[in-house]
Amino acid sequence: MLSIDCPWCGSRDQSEFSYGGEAHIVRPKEPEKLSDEDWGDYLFNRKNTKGRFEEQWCHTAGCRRWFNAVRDSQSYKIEAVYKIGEQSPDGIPE
Amino acid sequence: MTISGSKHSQFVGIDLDASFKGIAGDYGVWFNEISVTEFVNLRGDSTHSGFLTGVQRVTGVELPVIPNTVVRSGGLSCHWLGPDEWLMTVKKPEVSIMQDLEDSLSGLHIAVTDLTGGQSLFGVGGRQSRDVLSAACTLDLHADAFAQGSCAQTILAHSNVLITPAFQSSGDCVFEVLVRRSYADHLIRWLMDAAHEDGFEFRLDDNSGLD
Repeated sequence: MLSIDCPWCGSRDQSEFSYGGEAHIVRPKEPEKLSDEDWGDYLFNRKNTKGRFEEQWCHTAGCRRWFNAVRDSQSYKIEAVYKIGEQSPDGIPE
Repeated sequence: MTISGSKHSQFVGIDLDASFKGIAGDYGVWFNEISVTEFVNLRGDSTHSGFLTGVQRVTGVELPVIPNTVVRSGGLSCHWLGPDEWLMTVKKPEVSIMQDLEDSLSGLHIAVTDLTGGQSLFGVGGRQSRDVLSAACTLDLHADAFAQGSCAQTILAHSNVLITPAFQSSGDCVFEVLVRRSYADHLIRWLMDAAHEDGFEFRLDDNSGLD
C-alpha cells in the first residue's frame, strides 16, 4: 500500500486515491485536421515508461481534486506531487 | 433537539437498547445523534474578496482556506472540502442560510447546493472512541495530528465520511462523523460491531459535539 501526498491534504493512504494514467497529454487544437493514425495515437497510445513517470491521480475520497505525481514505475516511489497547472519537476509545462 | 425515533433518524432500525459492556465492564464508546437542520454545499473562488466577504456577511465567520480545517460559530460550522468547496452545517432550527447566501453572492460565479436530505451526522465519544474509529480508518486520529479545528474527508469502513474532532472542556474528544444517510445504517452497525470489545451505548438525549 502506498502513502500518497495529496498537494492539498497531505499524506493519505492509497485507498483514498484513484489513478488517472499518464499526465501532460495535450488535446489537439484542431482534431478534425488530424489523420486517423494521429487521433488514435492521442486517444490510446501511452508511454508505459519503466522508471520515472508523470501521471495523474485524484484524491477521490478526500478533497476530490486531480493532481500530478512523478512516480518511479519500478520502485513505486513517488518522487514529487504537483497541482494541475503547475510545471512538472522535469520541466514539462502544464 | 433529538430526532431519534422519527422516521428520518439515521438510527431507525437499530436496537437503541443494545448497549453492551466491554471487557473492562463498562461502556468505552458511546454514539449519539447530532441534529442538523441544514447542510449547504458552497462552491466559489476563495481568491475573490467579494466572495469571502459575501459569505462572512451571512454566516459571520471567515471561510477556512487552509485545507482540512473547520470554523465554528454559534451553531454554524464551515468545513473546508476543497480549494473551492465548503460544507456549512447549521444546528439551529430557526436559522436558514441557503437563501441568504444566494442573495449575498448573486452575480458571482458560485454554487450553493442544499444537501440537507442527503446527509446524516452522528457523534462517537468515550474513552475508546479513537481506537474504534481507527479500526475502520487509515487516518491518524491522535490529538497531536488531528487537533481541534481540523476536519478530514476520508474512508471509514468503506464509506466516504467527513470526520471532525470536537474537544470538550474536559479534554475528551467527540468525533463528529458525517456520512451520506444511505450509508449511515451500515456504518453504525459496523461501529457497533467494532466496539464490542470496548463496550458501547447510545446516548440519545446527549447532543455532545454541539457548538
